Amino acid sequence: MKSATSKFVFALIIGAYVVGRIYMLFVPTYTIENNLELNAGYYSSITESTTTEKSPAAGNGAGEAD
Amino acid sequence: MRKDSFLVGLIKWGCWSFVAGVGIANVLGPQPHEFMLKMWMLCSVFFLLSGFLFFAHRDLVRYTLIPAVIVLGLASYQWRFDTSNPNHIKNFKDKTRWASTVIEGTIVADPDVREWITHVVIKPEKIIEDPDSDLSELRELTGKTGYMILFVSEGIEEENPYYRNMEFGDRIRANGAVTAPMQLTNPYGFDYEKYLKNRNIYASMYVGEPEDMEYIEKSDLNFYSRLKKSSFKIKKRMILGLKKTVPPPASAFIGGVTVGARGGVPEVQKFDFQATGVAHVLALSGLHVGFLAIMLIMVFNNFFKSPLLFYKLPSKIFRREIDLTPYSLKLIPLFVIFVLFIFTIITGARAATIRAAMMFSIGIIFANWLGMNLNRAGSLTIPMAAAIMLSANSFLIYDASFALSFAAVWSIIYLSGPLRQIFTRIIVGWGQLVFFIFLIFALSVLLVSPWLFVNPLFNMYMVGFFGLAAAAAYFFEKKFPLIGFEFEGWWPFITGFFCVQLSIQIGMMWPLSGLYFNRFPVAGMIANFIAIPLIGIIVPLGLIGQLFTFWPGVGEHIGLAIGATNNMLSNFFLWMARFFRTYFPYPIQSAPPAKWLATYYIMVVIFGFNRSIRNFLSKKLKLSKKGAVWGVVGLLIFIFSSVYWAEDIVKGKVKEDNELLITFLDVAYGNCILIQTPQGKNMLIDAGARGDKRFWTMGKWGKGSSVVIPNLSGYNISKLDKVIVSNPLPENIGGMIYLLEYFNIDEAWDSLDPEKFTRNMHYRDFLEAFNDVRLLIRMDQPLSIGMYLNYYDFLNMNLARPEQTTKDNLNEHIFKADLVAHKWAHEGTIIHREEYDGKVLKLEAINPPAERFSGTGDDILNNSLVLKLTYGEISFLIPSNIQREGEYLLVDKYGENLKSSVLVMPDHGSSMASSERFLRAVNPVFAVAQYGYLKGRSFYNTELDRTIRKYDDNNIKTYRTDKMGAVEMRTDGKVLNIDTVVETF
Repeated sequence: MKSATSKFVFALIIGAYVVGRIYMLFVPTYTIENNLELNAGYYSSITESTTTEKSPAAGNGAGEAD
Repeated sequence: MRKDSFLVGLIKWGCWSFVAGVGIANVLGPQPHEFMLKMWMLCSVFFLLSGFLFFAHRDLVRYTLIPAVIVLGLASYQWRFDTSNPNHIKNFKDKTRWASTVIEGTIVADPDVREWITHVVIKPEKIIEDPDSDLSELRELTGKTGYMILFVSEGIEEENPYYRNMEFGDRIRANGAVTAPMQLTNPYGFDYEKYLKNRNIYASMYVGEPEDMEYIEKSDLNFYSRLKKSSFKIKKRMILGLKKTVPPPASAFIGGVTVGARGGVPEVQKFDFQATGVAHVLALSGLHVGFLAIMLIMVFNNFFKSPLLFYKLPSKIFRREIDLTPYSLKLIPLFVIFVLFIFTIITGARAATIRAAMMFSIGIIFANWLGMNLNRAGSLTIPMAAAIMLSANSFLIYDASFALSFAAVWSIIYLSGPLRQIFTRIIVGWGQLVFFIFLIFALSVLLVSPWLFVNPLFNMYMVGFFGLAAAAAYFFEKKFPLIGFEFEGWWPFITGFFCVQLSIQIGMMWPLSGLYFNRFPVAGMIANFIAIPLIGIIVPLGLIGQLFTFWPGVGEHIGLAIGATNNMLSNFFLWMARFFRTYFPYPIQSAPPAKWLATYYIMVVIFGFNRSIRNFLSKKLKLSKKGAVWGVVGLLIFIFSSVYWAEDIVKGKVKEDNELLITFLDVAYGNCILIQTPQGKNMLIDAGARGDKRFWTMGKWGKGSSVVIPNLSGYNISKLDKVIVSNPLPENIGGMIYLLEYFNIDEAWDSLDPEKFTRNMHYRDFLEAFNDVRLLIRMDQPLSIGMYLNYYDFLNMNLARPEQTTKDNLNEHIFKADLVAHKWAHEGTIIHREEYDGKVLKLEAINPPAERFSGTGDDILNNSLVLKLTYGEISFLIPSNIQREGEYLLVDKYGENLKSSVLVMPDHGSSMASSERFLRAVNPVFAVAQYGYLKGRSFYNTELDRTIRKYDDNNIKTYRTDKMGAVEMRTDGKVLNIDTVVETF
């Protein structure tokens, strides 16, 4: 491995940091608190949606014998 | 160096022989003890001989070592398969599903939490066989007991809070019936029992009541388990860091690809990835471990080479220049391997990750310490890792992910080199231009209509054009060479990547995706060009960002900024998957027969080793260089052509030419009958249920994808000429929706007038059109809603008026290939008719009348399509779900004409049908019940037993799919042969 390629990882981190900072300048709502809140809502919405997405009968008409 | 390569060769051959031994054992199956004893003796003799030869005649060692190790592989399989222990869990199976057995055991893997059920694998330790009886006693299970899987219903969660807290290492007590895992048995397709056995699981238990499961204590964890537990804590921390720095849905995606937290990735997204051929990025495997390893090597390289630490420091201490670099570089592998090990544990120590980490570790050690080049180290890595993994679990050889990843790595190592040579030496200049234009053309055709590649005429044109163009390119290259248009001249990274991608496609995707998934992700070739470099940035950034959050304050903010960039990249990735999924087809690909696969891989191996073969030809057979090249080409052409001159051998023959083959597939509770006519037409009557309601939108696990497709592909069927829906009950029409969307179908028939049932109908109008008043009263009942939704989707899935779907010419075919003609069958309609050898084959509808019944006990069921199939002297009556009233109406109308050799039990053998009068009129010799227990939809087993007694009394021999598996009937029009998948005689 040449040391030139090994600098790639550091360049990546710094580059990502700079791009991220610029992004955060334009989107001031991008904060730790907001992210935590959004994530909490997202995971519960996944579990909820599986039970309310369609009527419980949707699948195979499972439910009661006909 | 010479000595070195001798040892390396020995290791390589030894490992391959072990793999071969396990493979042979898998084919042979379990053997008696005497046989194994003889084998052991043989093995020791060979080993002794090898030891002697090692000192006496080194060149001969491999000839004795190979058989010795093959026997060792055989033995390791036998040892693994040994279930002779009287305490083995398979000996404690209950006879009924409502029996009760108490089991105590330790959870041996992370509970697999699904959306409505959790799979828990335990190692049984104690058992009380019949807890209700006074004689019951606790029995300790010692020795090799095998594992057991508990299906724990989410329903117990409310009253039993332990449901959410089940953890690896807990000792628990469970109560229920110990049974074999429920499974459907068909000629082809997924074998759940085998899948579980590969994981050492021999029994299952359904836990549905809160009091049936109880936590006892934490078991004494060994070192490895403790390490695992503490690494889970790191994982939790990392996920928290991720949630702080990245918003959803990117957070779920990054969590999945970095630390293997897959729970948050929604099913729809997973499907996008599968269809795009980039699902491998979600399964933590070689790719991720590879990125991690490369990143670590880069970082450590810099670290160790940094003059401050390792170069200047000693010189300051010792006041002398000491270059420690070479020594410190030798340490890198140890560090990398250690971090890979921790990473493997953090991500849940899945088989795929262990394998990848092991392969990289072996590869790095050989490359770094023995100074091998990467290709040679790689060629050692494959057999060594395979042998180590197989010695731990010899059943893995049939595991899909095991086979796929080894095939992928093998292809990269052995095929990318020769491919590169082809692109730099043979396909040059004009040739390259022609090649890439054709590549783009082929991809465009796939985009528009993948079915064209099934059309032999189209393929002939393609081969012809390609041949002409190649010849023209050759001519042009001679006369006016294209200078400057060389593959090598492109950016080396891109050319290398292209060859690696192409080799993975050739060595793994083309042959194996059909075998394991029955689907082929067309987009994969293009999508991976973007996906892999992108994931190579997302994964390291994700890991680094998460690690930064361990440093509160400043670190969190750096992590947040990195997370912002990663969020954008991940969203782009998700968008890309959606884009490719929308615009690229994801067609069904038949599973290639074993012999065809063997032919294909022989060709691939010849191609991969073409240089060695050419060397052999020119040195040993004294052929000229050109002659050797033509020798290889000739060999390839010879093997390829065997597909034509030995078609039956290569493809495997499913049925005789004059035969009518009818398969009553086992789809549990539901109709599903596959008809293959003497003239080679394929028809399907019904397709089972649609699958679990939670996967409603995709029909995942529906019978269409899980049973019908694998069996169609097993029978070498790439097109269904006719599909017939006998009535709109969910357990008959459900599987059809998946087929209509993804399989090549010409005509769809049902008993409902296409004019009356149209797309985008209003719910009430739809129910009214069924002509069943009771449906409107029971509008909100599960059956009516299920029927509405299934039929509604069925109509919206490519169905069109017959006149819109003529596929007579190629042009029409291209643009209307996806449309399926929708036709109406009622009393008197002849759905299919053909003649073979003077015998007439006819499939005719005899019910319902064009003006549907109304006012019977159950109009939906009595208006089912009743079909009569006749071939020569043999006939089949397929009455779907008609009830007693419907049967009487048929008897009144047809009388003697109902007489048939085989009767499919109406309504799956329920007590509401199979009336005495009907049985006497049909007077069949054989009857088939397509039955299986489906919660909420079917009646109980006992009811079927009563019906079967009725058939017995009438001297009718019965077959039932729940006990005997699928039933195959073959007839030449005179004699009828019946086979069941499960041997019953």
